[in-house]
Amino acid sequence: MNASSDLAIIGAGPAGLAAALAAAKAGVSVVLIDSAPRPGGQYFKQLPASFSGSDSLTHQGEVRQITEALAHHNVTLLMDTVVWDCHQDESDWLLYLFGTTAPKRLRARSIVAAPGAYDRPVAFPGWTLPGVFTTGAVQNLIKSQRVLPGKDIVVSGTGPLTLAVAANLVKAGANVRALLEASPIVKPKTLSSLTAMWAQWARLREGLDYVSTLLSARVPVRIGWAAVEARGRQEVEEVVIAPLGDDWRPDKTRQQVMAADTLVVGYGFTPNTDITRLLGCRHARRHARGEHIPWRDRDMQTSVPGVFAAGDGAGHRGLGAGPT
Amino acid sequence: MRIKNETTRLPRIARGRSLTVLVNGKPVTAYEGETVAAVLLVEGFRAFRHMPASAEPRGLYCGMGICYECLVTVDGMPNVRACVTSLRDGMTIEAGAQP
Repeated sequence: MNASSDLAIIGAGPAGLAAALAAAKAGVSVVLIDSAPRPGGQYFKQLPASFSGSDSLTHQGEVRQITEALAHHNVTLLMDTVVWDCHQDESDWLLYLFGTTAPKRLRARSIVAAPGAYDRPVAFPGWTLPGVFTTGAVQNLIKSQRVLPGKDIVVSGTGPLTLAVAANLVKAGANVRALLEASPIVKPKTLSSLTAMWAQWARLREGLDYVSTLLSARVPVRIGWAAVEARGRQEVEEVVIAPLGDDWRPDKTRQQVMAADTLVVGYGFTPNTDITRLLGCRHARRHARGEHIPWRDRDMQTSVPGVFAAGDGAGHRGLGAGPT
Repeated sequence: MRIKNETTRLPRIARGRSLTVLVNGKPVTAYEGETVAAVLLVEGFRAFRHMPASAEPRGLYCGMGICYECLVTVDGMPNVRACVTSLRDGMTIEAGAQP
């Protein structure tokens, strides 16, 4: 079976959903594709459809609002669907799909790539040991799957998500042994680079809630420290922590060893450029972040005519920037 | 000091209908909507696989389908990402074997 639409949107997170609604309101036929079973993406993380109950952890209401609006327009949702190839065919794009209910191919006049971002991986001795998770993995486990992935947990990294994860772990009943914030926040020199990560965080009330959760659980917070090694034979048994110098190099003379079964690591996000690279878009390197983002004009069009990029995958930061 | 890791299902949520999957041949009760990764963690697996040459253990890392660290065998198909694969009744899962 082949299908066609004016616009194919890849990624049904905040940016993809907003793009779908805007395009549909303008009278464009839209196919919205995502590899997850439900729309929402990583930020609007959804419970599995078969789960139910009062839900303060996810943003189900916000997603329902958008999907209900989409239902009134010419939008087809293809969930559980992966785009595994894509190329130009005369004046159209041909997308090759893999999924349980998806057609094998989709023809579209234009594409919006909204693939989002993922936790920037940071390597250190033991980082591949089972029991070392990214913040995104732990958020998924707690918020969507509703499992607590460990008992004695060290959270390390920088930015607001480590704070959120630590608080969610405490609320779920874990013993958070330490929250380590690598950035020496108080130093004005590093403040400018740090604000980029924190500034997008408009949800201040959520932030205060996390802080009060950590305070009342008496979670030790160390600023300017990081986990520098995970130790264990088959899985994490110990986490080595150390203070960091101005260049973020650990001072191993002051390192300490903590017993823990789980280490959660989060150093911010990096845009997912798989799809824009596949589409042949020109990318620019952001040296300070060590990442690439697709070049875009004022209309969010990439270097490839008919291909647009939106959201975190295009280098935006956080939800506030997504639905523009 | 050795701490025993425990992955547990959290309370205050109604899960999907219960179903049975086979984990390394052992019948395990789980719930519709759960991923292969979640049920493996609850069953006490941390090492989902071992590297073919070095035998290093690997498990769930990114949890969102990006890193391909959590590969297991599902219904005889190798290299399936446990984190983005939803359970089906009667599914067979092979995980954690030493090479």
